[in-house]
Amino acid sequence: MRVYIKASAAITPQDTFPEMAFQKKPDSASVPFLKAMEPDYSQYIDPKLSRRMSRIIKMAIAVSKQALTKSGVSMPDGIIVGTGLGCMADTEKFLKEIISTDEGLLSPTAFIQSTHNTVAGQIALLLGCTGYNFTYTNRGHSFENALMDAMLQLESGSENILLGGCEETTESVLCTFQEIGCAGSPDEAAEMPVLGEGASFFLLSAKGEPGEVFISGMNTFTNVSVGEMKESLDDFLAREGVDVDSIDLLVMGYNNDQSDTWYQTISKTFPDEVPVISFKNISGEYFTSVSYGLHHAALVLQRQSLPDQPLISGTFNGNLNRVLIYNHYNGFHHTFILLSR
Amino acid sequence: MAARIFVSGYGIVSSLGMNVSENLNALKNEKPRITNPAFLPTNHREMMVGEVKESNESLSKIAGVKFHPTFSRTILLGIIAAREALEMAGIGKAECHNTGLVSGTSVGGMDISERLYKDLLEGKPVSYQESFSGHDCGHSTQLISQHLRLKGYSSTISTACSSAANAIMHAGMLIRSGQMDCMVAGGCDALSLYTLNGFNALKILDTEWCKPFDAARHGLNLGEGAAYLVLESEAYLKKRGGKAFAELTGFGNCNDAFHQTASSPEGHGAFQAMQKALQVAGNPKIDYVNAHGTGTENNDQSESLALKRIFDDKVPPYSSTKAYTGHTLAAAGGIEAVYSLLALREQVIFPNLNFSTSMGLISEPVRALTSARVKTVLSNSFGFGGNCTALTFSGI
Repeated sequence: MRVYIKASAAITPQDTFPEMAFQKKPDSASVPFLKAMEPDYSQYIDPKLSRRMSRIIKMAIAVSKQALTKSGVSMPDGIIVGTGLGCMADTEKFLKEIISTDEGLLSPTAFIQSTHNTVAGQIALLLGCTGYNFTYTNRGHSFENALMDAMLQLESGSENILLGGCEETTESVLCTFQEIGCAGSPDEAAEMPVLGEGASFFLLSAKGEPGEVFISGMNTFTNVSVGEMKESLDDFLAREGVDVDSIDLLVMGYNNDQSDTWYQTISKTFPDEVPVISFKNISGEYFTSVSYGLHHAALVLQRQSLPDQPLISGTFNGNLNRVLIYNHYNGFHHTFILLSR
Repeated sequence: MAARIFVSGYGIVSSLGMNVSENLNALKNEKPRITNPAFLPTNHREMMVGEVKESNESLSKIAGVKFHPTFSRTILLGIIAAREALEMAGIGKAECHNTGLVSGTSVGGMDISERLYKDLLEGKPVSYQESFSGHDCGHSTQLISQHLRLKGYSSTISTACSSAANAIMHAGMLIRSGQMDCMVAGGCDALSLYTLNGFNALKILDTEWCKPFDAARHGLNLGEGAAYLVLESEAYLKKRGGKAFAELTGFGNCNDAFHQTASSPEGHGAFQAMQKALQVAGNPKIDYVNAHGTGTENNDQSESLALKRIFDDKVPPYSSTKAYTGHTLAAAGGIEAVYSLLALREQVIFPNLNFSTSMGLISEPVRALTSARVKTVLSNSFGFGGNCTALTFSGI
């Protein structure tokens, strides 16, 4: 089935919010990961409420409101969020309080805002949205799980779904990812992924107008060899009824390492001239960074032009009707999403 | 007619026991297992918890996993319960290849990360990899899948106390839509200092045995455990020659959109979730309601009013089994789904323990083990963030 992207919005470490203008260099600020460029939230959230909110919640609410405004939908039928780590800052805050007071008298504020479903819950609360409400937290497939569910809900009669992926990065998260070999530092020349953070939300609908961008299919798999992944791609394209010549653009999760075997293997499956671009130079790496990849690819299709960034390979001939997104997380979680217009 | 979703197996670990039969015995003999903590290393020794009385070493043996000090208790509980479900369903190695897992958890690897975060703050040398790489909720799902060789679609849901119920709903929808033939679905949560101190800070823990639906209720007891169902499509069940025990007939999910932690006093969310579930099920007669019934002032009032409204004052026999197990958070919807299936199998209604005085809003809960004709059960799960879910199961 076709799932139309009516509108989307993203906060990333670059200038992408409220509208995308990403010619600037990443703002690496004082922390060794790509920190999101956050807007003035006062026009999206009552400052009395936002004062207590962690960054992940504020980012998610701001992009949700922007996506809803752009789509003209004031009340979605459901809200589905994917987040790999959820509300990390409040989790760490409450843990620190438990430890520093030796389980003493504690304020519950950080605790009640630390559950993973706080993001979807707070959006529902602010919108007064009593519809379907789900939160997925599945490592490098958190957003994909959420998208899978959004497709199910639209297929089962929901008119529209607010779908999002979001993550906030903290120092402890960075240290953990660096030690397990999932992150480098923006200053290093080493070919390690650079950690980022952000929120990308979409208003999806089962109904669309001619020329609108739609997701025609997604395929996710884990723990496979390069050969198996290649077979999965062939199966996916066959299932979607497209051949390698009909893909106009590859949007891939390259992150600071252009020799990545996974991405190279996929590139080589397609004719050399097919243009290849990355999205993680804008979002950085995180569990739900593919949500930004989807926003990026959708904008390219909507605007019918490529962003001001060098192509990794291929040549752009002005044709933009079908885009394949491929992302992997740490070589374990793999995702294909096919977008068309 | 919508495609049917069959339940062909279930498995459970709770403070009542390590498997279905131990749980059933305790339920039938009205033996709750809520005690002071023996394994949770908390200073709050006075708290009452539904703790699984096995150490991580011994849980590792039972799970068939090599013991490791940084292997989360959440995963151990999950493996044991999910394995029992697969064995009951007779899902072998070949079938596991296409069988998926939807697991709900709210704490994930918190039991490990909270211990080692303390070392980190105290300046002790800490391996980030061993300490925190299993912190996220998806880690437990990945490890349970790997240990049980489940190769199909996997998904993790974290919607606080409604996580496992939502996992069952999502798996059911994946089967109904034809995307999957066979899914293991449920949830797992271990006790942690994080949740114990969090609920304590909210002042909603009873230091005595909790008293769901009682006028003098003081709060909940936390518990831990895991429970999973095996759900299958009719065609797949037939093809592999499996046997179904019951059917997942209804599911409803909504958001209360009232407050981050509290339920609306009149139970709008609870009402809407039940209404949707009953609608999906084709408005069957409900013979028993396994209520969310945490024993907090707020939940039990809100749920009572929602029950009164949905059943037009004629509330079916209902009980909360949380006085037996404590509130097992993300696992609760799975554990209570198994108890609902046992009510169908045994044709009994399990009692609401520790009840003495009515709140005066609806009829009293069932107070003793009661034989009854039970054809359809409604199971409620509500959580923080306004998440409300209701499921219905019918016998076949």
